[in-house]
Amino acid sequence: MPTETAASGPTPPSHTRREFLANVLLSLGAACGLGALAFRMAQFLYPVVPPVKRVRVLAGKLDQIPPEGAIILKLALGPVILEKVGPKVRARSAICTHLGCIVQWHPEVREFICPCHHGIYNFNGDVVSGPPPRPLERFSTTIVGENVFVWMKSR
Amino acid sequence: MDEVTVKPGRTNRLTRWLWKRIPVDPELLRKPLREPLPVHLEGWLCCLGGTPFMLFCIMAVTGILLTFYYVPYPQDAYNSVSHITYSVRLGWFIRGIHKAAAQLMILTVLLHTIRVFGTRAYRKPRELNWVLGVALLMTTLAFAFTGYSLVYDQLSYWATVVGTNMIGALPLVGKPLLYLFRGGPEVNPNTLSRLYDFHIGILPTVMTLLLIGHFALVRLHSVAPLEGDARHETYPFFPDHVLRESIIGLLVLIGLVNYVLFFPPGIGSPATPAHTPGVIRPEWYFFPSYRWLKLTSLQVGIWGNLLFVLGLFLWPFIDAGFEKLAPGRQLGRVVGSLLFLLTLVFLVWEAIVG
Repeated sequence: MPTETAASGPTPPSHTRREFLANVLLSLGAACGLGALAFRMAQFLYPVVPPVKRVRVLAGKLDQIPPEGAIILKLALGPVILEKVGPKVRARSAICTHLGCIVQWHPEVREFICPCHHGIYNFNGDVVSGPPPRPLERFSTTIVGENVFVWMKSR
Repeated sequence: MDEVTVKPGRTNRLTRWLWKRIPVDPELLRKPLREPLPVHLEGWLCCLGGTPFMLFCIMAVTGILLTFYYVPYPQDAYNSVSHITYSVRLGWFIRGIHKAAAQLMILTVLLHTIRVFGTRAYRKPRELNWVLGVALLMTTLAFAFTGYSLVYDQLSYWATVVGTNMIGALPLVGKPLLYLFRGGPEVNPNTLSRLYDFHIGILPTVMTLLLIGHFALVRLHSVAPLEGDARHETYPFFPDHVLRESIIGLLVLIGLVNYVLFFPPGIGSPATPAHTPGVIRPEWYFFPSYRWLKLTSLQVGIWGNLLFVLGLFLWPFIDAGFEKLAPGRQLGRVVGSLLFLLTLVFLVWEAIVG
């Protein structure tokens, strides 16, 4: 940078512009570098999520299900509600669609009630009152002899 | 600096030895101590700021002691907490102080926030300090949430499930954030590790940085004048204010120790992922949010919470807007007080009705 005496004029504009451009380039470079670092750190932290697959799980026996009621079975892949509807067996997830707690069967009112935020589902799994946004998730079932199999999601 | 000028006749050999090796200007240390504070701070209500800081120091010490025994893996977490509470010498005491100090810290942070809100100490040019203060409040609540989840008993486990599912319910960013936070789609051993990392690593760092910023801004701006207080007298930070804060600190310690002696900590039944307990609730400081979630649909529930927090952060600017809208009518104070009352109503409602 040229030295200036008190009598000389203001700094020539080209120097200021050069400094400005240099600052901008440095900032851009720093942003790219830090951005790349942050991105790689986020990649590291983000968990490896295996794909979902459908598996057939042995839930229980036909005679475990009460004739006019429901039973909640705690399977390895999650809690499942089994009900008899005529000759068929209906299966639903017992996980509340609001914020993930497990519902409880109340036979006296024939409703599933979630203890966390008082979401209430009827016998069909539809929301009757409270904050749950969706009915309880349905699963397909297969009956082989006395055994009830439920198709569930697994990772 | 070649040689520090030392006042002759007032220093001993040790002090001179130290000053040669740590050449700090003694005036730099003495000046903050002499800081003049306005006399309205002599009221006990205005000593509420230092108390959460003292409690944070107590939490840090007891927390570090607890890490010597705590194991952040699902089956072992519960057993290690049980071991601390029932087997380790004075473990019940250290854990009890940690738990009780946490509750008291949240209470005092809230009281301090209410005091600053009531005295409108956040007005220009102190708005950024309010933002830092709200960030400190949120960090304190995050500490409470992550710490509570580490016990891994039933209430602790299900609090983690519900709390993380709330993050997951956000549109677009919900699922990636949920997976990032949980370390997977479901609550798994990685979730506990991550909560532990937040509790002992990330949050203490964030808290320390925020505290430095908060204290720095208070000192740079000096304490906010009290509206309607025409007094101009001041009193020194040291020893007057420090003495007052020390008395409060001692009272807090006495209170904590006695509380833990009469109500030692316990532990619930171990976490059972297959069964949600029939009676489940978060801690009292989350009651307003919990009641709101029960009353509204999922999205309204979550967005309501987010907007409330955003409003809290931006309050000085909102208040300034109200002031422009209706000058001198204290509209901001009215609206803010109503919202505060509503929060209190939700809290009491949840506490009584459940």
